[in-house]
Amino acid sequence: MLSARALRATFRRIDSITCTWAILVAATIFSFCVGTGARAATTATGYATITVLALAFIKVWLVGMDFMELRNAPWPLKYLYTAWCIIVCTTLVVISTV
Amino acid sequence: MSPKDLTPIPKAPGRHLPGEAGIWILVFGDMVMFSIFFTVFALAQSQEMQVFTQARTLLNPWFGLANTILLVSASWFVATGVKKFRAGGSGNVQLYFLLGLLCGVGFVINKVFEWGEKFRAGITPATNDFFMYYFIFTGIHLVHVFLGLGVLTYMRGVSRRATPGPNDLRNLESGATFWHLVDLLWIVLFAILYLAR
Repeated sequence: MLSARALRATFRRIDSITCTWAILVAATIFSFCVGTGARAATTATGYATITVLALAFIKVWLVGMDFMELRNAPWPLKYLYTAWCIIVCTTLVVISTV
Repeated sequence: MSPKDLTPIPKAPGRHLPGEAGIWILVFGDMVMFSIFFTVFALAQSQEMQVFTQARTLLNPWFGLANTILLVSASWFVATGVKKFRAGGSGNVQLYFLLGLLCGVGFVINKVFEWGEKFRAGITPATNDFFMYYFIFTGIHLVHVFLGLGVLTYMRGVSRRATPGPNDLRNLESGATFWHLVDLLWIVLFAILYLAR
């Protein structure tokens, strides 16, 4: 049986890459619910679209920072990637909702 | 125990460029190309909103969900494998690349079923503009997945060497960077094709 100490030790072993993975999976499932819910409801699809697109690019940004290791990469590369996320996300949101 | 177990590869202090500079040129080139695809799709959708909205209801979002979780998990395996290799690695580093590879193979199998379902229902790229973009974009992405599977196979081979070579870490980082590109492009494709309007 797992003791409290063993559980604490397990959580301490969980690294940032694993936390990022858990956030990515949770955000994917949440986006799925929002997107498919909006598809069925037909109302408030504008908000659903903004939520789905924003979450997608936050996920992309996290993949870059933590999986591609851009968080500690030379800053031009890190900020170029971040700029791509912001510019493409904003473009898609504007085209999809205006 | 292999010699690799005893000699952690030192990480350069300060900011670190993962992989070769060339891989980042390829990655950003691909990201620019796909951002044009995404924009063209969004503009076409705004012209034919009804066609796109109706066509989207014919997609099975469960395939998209499963494939996103498979690719995100593959990326976790690959990122963890690189981290463990850098830390000096134990004998099972190659297992992380193998599991990443299997997730990628799962993506391809899922895609075959998904496309098969569409073709059996009489849906082809000629059906309408939505499906034309759907097949072209997911097809180009699938080519990236196949290239990525080749890269992961190579990475697994590198990680199995008893004694790491001087360029092994850099090559593994370059390969991992390419694989994460495959993941990030799919994340956006899943959002715009299956979920968003």
